[in-house]
Amino acid sequence: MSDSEVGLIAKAVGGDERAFEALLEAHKDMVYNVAYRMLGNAADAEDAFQETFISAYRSISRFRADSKFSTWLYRIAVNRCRDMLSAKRSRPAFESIHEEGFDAQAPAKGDEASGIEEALARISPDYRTAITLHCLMGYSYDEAGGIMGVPGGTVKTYVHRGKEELRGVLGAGVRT
Amino acid sequence: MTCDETRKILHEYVDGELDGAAAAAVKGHIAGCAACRKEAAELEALGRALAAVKPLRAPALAVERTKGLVRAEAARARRRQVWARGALVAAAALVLITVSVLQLSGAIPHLGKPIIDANAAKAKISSVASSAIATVTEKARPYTSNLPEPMLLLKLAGIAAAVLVAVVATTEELVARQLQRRFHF
Repeated sequence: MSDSEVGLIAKAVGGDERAFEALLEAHKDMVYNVAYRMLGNAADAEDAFQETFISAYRSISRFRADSKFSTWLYRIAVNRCRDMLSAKRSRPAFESIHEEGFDAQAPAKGDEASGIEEALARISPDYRTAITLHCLMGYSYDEAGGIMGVPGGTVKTYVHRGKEELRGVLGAGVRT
Repeated sequence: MTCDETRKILHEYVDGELDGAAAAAVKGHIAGCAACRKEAAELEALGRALAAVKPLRAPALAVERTKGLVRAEAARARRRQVWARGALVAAAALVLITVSVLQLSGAIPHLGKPIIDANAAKAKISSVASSAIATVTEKARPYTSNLPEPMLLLKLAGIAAAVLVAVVATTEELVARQLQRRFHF
């Protein structure tokens, strides 16, 4: 954690909502990415995004500096998404980011990146979360384990099994 | 190295996580095994496809809405704090009044009937009350200066509660002095 982030956290613990908004700005995209990849559609991802930050604001006084703020925050997001998935008790119906128009950088429908995104939405939630954190967001197995609340070795297994599921979903779509 | 042994560590090989000897063994096997070579190539392609997935940006509307909710949550927390302090003062005042009434009425047997100098009590209460109003008004200024007009009643109620506490505390003090004088403790 940088010194400025430590300062912002201290102010936010004291009830300074401006400091908390600065933390929100710093982590908004990562939280949204986690939520979108886990839930597979923009509406649910926005709900999870909102609830993650409200929950973080309410409980920031319980944050201990023995872990990174990002790890703590993304764990809240992952748990919230898991709750939403459990409530739905079904795999997410993938909704094209391109159609939503939220991200000008989103891949055009039908290209390789879009294909892999659709395939990601169809694999098991734990595997999808592990692949999102490790392969897409660049977290080590141990860091991803800290966020998911499982050992790093379990994340590694999830990533490998997730890739196998992806290969199964993509079938001949994996261009070599 | 057999195909089964290779496939067990093929992901690590493709991800570059194997040490030199293990990596060389896998490399040697896939050089001569078309099936394992195809599998390794597919995993490499999958890795490239995942690397090509671009990160998303959080929608601006969702960000603004969330900030608004955080501000509302902060305002609610501040209101809860004000009410909690008010409730604490009221509870303390109630306890003091109850104890004082019991003492003054002699309902607490071992204290006996208190003797109070009425003029001294009146003067002391008046002085403490004036001082309490000034102190409470000054202390409360940062919290009440931005309050809208309807909140004025709340402000006055807070001052009244503080005065009540001061009066009760002074009465307590006078009663205690009388008791000390009477029973020499």
